[in-house]
Amino acid sequence: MKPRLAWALGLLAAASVLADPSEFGVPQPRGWIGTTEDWIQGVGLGFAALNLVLLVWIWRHLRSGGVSTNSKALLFGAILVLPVIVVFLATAHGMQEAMTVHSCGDCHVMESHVADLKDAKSDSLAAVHYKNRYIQTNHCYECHSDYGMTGTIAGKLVGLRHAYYNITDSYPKPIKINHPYPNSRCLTCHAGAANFLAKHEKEQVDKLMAGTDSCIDCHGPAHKADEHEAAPPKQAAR
Amino acid sequence: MKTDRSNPTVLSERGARRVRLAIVFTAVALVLGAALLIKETAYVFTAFMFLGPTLLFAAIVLLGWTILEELREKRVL
Repeated sequence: MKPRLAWALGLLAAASVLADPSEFGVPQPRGWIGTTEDWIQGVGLGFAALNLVLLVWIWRHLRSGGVSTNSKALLFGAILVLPVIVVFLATAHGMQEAMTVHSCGDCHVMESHVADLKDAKSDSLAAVHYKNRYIQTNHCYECHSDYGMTGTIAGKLVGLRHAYYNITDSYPKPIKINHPYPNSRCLTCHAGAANFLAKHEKEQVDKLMAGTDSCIDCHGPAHKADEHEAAPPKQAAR
Repeated sequence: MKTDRSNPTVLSERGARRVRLAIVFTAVALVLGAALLIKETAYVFTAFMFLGPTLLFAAIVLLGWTILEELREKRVL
């Protein structure tokens, strides 16, 4: 019982250490032990460390001549059970983290877009949404991926292409959206809202719904990024 | 897979090599997973999504192959 208790306490301690403080200094609720995301990270790291120790132990036993029945069971656990859990948790964590503004801003080309997003003086559509907290989290992802499961998959595939462009410095300058921005991404939140209905005529709403008019035409620009800063390092050097 | 009859837990050279390879594949997948869990970047995420599950699948296949050979050797299968 004691080892199990120590193990549970260890996981709890790891998760609480990894738990982020509230972004705006808001006091956490009583008994706060972190988010699900913090726990995924803590438990995943704990299992990964345990798994690596087990693999080293089995490796040394293999070198010393053979595997006992016990080490066969450990081998099964260390190659099939624990790693599958770790890979699952790491995938869940990676999928979630890849949606954050921080992740999008990792690439040089996006630095000026993120700077504009977070600029309190900017009046770009993205900055207005960010400073007024119209979107709570994952600001880039919420507006640049379609909703639903297929939207997530498509978003990840586009992200893969972006990573390729960034690695090879082959993205076009100035950065432009790949296809016309679909109104559905705006309307998923705004359609039906009282202030949206009050400010848009019925005929105008119909046109927006049909996609014949674009929200961005009246409410843009979406970003006020410095295109010179956004130049790929190789192009900027030329 | 050949086993030592006096000590059935000793793996053949080929079996041991496969298990070692499976351990290395699993370790690399785990290191990538741990790196992603510690700090997510676009590059680590991309590398993990391509290599992590693939290496783990290869490790499981190698382990399964070794187990099957051992069971056949012992005439269980």
